[in-house]
Amino acid sequence: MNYIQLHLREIIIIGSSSMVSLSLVVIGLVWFLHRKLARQYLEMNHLRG
Amino acid sequence: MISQEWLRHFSIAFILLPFAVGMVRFKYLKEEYKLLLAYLTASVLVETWGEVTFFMGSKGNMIGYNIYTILEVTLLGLLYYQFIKTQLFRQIVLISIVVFDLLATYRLIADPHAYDDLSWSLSNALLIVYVLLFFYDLLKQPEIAVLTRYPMFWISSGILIFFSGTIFVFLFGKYIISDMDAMGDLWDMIKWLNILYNILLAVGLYQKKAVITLRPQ
Repeated sequence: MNYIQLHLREIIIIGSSSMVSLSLVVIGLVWFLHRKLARQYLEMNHLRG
Repeated sequence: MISQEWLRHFSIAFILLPFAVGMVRFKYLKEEYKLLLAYLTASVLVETWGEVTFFMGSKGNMIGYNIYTILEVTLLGLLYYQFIKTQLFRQIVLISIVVFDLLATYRLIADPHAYDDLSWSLSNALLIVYVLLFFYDLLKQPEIAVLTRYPMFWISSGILIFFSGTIFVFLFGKYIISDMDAMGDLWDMIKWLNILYNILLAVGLYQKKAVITLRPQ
């Protein structure tokens, strides 16, 4: 039995949960940054108006 | 029927949720989202076929899932091709779809009934990249006022969570299948993530307006 087979369960559980956590961080970051950018864009256009 | 099998059928049934929402809202959806509906239709068909063969006791339904993987990358890839605005990213998406389709078709013809771990995990990796390119592109579009009312935000979130969460299971799928008694429960992760994925797709398709745009004064 090689290393991968011996630790497969740990590799899959840790790998999958890390990937899901990372995805949630990316989604949160995109939402946060986009909200900030949209507000700046709105303010800029109000000022111009 | 054991609980793992119940979970399998329950998870598969969830595909009907975004499909039904998409059908109800069909005439209000923008043209681009119809590619997502084509993908959902393919999902419903392949899962129905998988269920029929399962209840008939046949184990030779892997060919359907291998074809489905090619359709999945093609249809979702084309969906992103339409929504991504940066020319370089669009080219990356298009070229990767063509290369993947050729590779996956070659492997499908070589052994149609085998569990194709390479194609399955590569399709996950590609879809993760498409979502990341789309998100990067989205940050250059501040005119979309409310991101949570933008369908592609929900759809992309679902795709990112599902395909990143399942990539390890598909990558080591051959090991899991060879020892289902000891590791079969790892496959349950796909079923739970599939439920969440379909809920997020349905939320995306339910959004009333395709895009809420800020109006400059």
